[in-house]
Amino acid sequence: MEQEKVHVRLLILTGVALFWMTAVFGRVAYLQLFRHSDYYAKAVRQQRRTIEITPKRGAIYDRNMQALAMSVPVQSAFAVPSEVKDVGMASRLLSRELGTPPEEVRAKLESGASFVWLKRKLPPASSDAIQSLNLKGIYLLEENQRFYPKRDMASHVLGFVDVDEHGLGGIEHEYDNLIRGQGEKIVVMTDARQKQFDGGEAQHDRGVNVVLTIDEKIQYVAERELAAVVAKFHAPAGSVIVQDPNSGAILALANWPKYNPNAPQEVTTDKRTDRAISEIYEPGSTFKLVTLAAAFDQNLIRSEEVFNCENGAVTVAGHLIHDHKKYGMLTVADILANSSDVGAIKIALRLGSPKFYEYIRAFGFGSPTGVDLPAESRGLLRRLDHWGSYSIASVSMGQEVGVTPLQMVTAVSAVANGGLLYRPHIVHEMRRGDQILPLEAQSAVAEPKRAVRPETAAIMRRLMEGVILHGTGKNARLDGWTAGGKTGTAQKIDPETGRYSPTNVIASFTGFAPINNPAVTILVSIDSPAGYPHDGATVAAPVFKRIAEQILPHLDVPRDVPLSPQLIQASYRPKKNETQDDSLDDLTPVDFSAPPDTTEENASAPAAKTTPVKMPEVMMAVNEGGDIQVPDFKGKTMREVTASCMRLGLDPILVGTRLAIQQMPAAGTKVRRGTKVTVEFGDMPVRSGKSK
Amino acid sequence: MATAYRWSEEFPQGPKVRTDVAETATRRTVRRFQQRMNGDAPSEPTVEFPVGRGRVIGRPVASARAKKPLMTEVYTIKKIDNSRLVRHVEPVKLRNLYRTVALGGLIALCLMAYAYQHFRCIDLSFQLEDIKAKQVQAQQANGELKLEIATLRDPRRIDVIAQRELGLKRPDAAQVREYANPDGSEMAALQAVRINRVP
Repeated sequence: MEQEKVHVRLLILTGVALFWMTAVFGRVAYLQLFRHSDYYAKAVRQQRRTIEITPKRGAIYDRNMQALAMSVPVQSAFAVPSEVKDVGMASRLLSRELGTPPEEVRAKLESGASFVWLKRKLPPASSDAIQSLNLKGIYLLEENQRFYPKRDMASHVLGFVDVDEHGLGGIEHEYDNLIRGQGEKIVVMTDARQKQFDGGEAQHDRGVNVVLTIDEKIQYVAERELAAVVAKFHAPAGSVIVQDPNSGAILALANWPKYNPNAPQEVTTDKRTDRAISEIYEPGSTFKLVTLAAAFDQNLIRSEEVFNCENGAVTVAGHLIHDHKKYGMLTVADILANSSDVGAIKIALRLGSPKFYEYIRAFGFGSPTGVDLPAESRGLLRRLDHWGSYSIASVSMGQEVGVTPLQMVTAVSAVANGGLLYRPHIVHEMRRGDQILPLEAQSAVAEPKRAVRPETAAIMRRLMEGVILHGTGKNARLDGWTAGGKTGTAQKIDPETGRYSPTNVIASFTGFAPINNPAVTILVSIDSPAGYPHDGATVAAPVFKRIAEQILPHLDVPRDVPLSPQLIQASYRPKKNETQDDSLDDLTPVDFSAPPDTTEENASAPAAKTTPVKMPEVMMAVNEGGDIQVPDFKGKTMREVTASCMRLGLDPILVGTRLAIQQMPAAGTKVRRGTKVTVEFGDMPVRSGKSK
Repeated sequence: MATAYRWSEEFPQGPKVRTDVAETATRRTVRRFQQRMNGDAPSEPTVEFPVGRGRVIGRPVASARAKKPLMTEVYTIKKIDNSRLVRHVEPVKLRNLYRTVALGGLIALCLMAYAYQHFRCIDLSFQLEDIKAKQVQAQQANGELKLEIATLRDPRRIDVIAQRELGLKRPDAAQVREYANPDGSEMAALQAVRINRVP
């Protein structure tokens, strides 16, 4: 009996176990076989998340890889209003950190939106403080913010970005697609605590880094000197461009006024205009370079040829034109050196309008230069068939034609490098990581076009040196380097009268240095300098000198002439704005308009900073070198010139054929070993006077 | 169930028979056998049929049911000695067994390895994500430091420090001396004579 009871119990237990197992496995089978797809979909929804990756914007560097613009991740605060419990408290706490009124914050939190920005791109201290508040419904999202660590340096070149990091202006706009990179979405797996454990990798390209041709230090020098001259002459605007004439690379591009791209919303459109490439002005006397170059290239004139400048007045097509001085008989060299309008007109008349127009276009005027910056103006040049009877005279003086500063400096660079017109460019290369990318078609360095023959360019360089040595450009003479240039004083149109204003001018100077192997071409253009005199020689030429003397040593350009005897004036004026409260944040340009420095003997310790010390003038001749006297090569053959240079230790540059007719430096100049000597060859000039 | 066996060899006297209990079929069979051995049982056809491990000689069931003799209890003592019994092992089956166990073990091992690597992968993924997060933090810190360096290297800032705080001045042209140029004749000999400045 007992056994039967046990037996029955065992049977019951077995039955229950079997029932349980059947139920469980049956349920498992049901879920796995019939409900598999449903639960799989739920698991995917729960675990899989899609994250949108915004690549960091590429950086912008100068030619020496100094960062000019870069992006750094920052936090932005947003709210989910439905999750915020105590709106009042949250508003009060957040307004303190965000710097916005509590009412404004409250209005956002009480809005019916599911997502609302509180403030974008917060400083690290603010984002940390908000995070520490730990308010429900308030979250932080990481975004990138663009910083320009040099503040307003090269602001017109760099441009700026909006809050969504879209480029506006300058390089930021021109190469926005490349610098931004491509955003993409990646799929990641998360656990129950929303922690990622299987994240994907971003596959698309990061933002491209752009390396400019700008040299940070040259840019700074250009901006500093521009600011100083603008402040000195109370000019509303100005531009300085420094270019490498042998490649067209822009080493510096400075405009005044400038702005801080870190805060573009506070800046007016006027300040954001890149005047160097967008503003048109009448070049004035600097355009005589084109007139003379065209005439020389056509072999219509010679530098010693004499023209009658009609005592400073000439009538063309019923228009009476006056020179700024009453000149009589001038050689072509003197016409350029003294900037005679009458002489230039006569040369242009000999050239003729069609040829003149051809050379104007050959020098790049009337069309965009193709620089890789946005909003470039093509200038203003009437078509030949629209020229009036007086146009040739106007244009030869630099009127009735509108050019941009960049067009002007590019044309002068063509003269400096031997007659080749290079396309100016500002982008040196593009990099993605360590990989250098091929430049796009528009930014790749194009083949130069020939504007004039090398012989013509050599002649023009010599004549331009004459402008500085004994012409209107004396204020641009450099200490230690040869230089050539041309002054310009162009009258502006008075909008009220529609005629040329007698007071408002654009004072400019364009030049290059050194003469024999130019390393830089510099253009200085000042709009409406106040006071008198306000011409290019007074306003712009000294700026050229100051800039060139600072950047030529920086570029390791050796001196090619001995230093001139210097007047060392040991007067020391106290700085105008120097106070105890001055800080590094106060970087007004007036502070850098200091007079020439004193020598060490006359400068004493800190007391000299604040007390003016007047000492007697001291004349001191400093002869820095030059133990080789350049011989006279006139009439010699190429072989003789080369042999003579090698014997003396000079570096000859030969231009032309036949016999030597001109040389630079002139015969008798004391130079150092290794100095480059340019010798021009051609037919010996016939000594006969010819004037008109 | 009683076990009948060849008791005649071990118990020459015959089995002990109990008479105080009801006769069971087995006992009846034994009793009848005993009677026959003694010559008392009627002659009947006998058959041998196996019962348990031994064989019992008895009469067929049908004729056995016709008569009901007196019951005789038989008490037997069983002494089983299986020490000499050796289970016969078949090599083929044994080999199959080993093979099956090995295969099963292998499959189990694979399953365990799969499970291990699966969870190890997930664990490493978590670690990888942690390291990625640290890398991102380090990159961010690096970017911020680069920004700080760029700000500190601002030429205008350096100029202000040099002029205002340190009292430095820009040198005169006469105060800057150039280092010696290479010998001009060497330069001229090495360089090609440039004609017309063609690039």
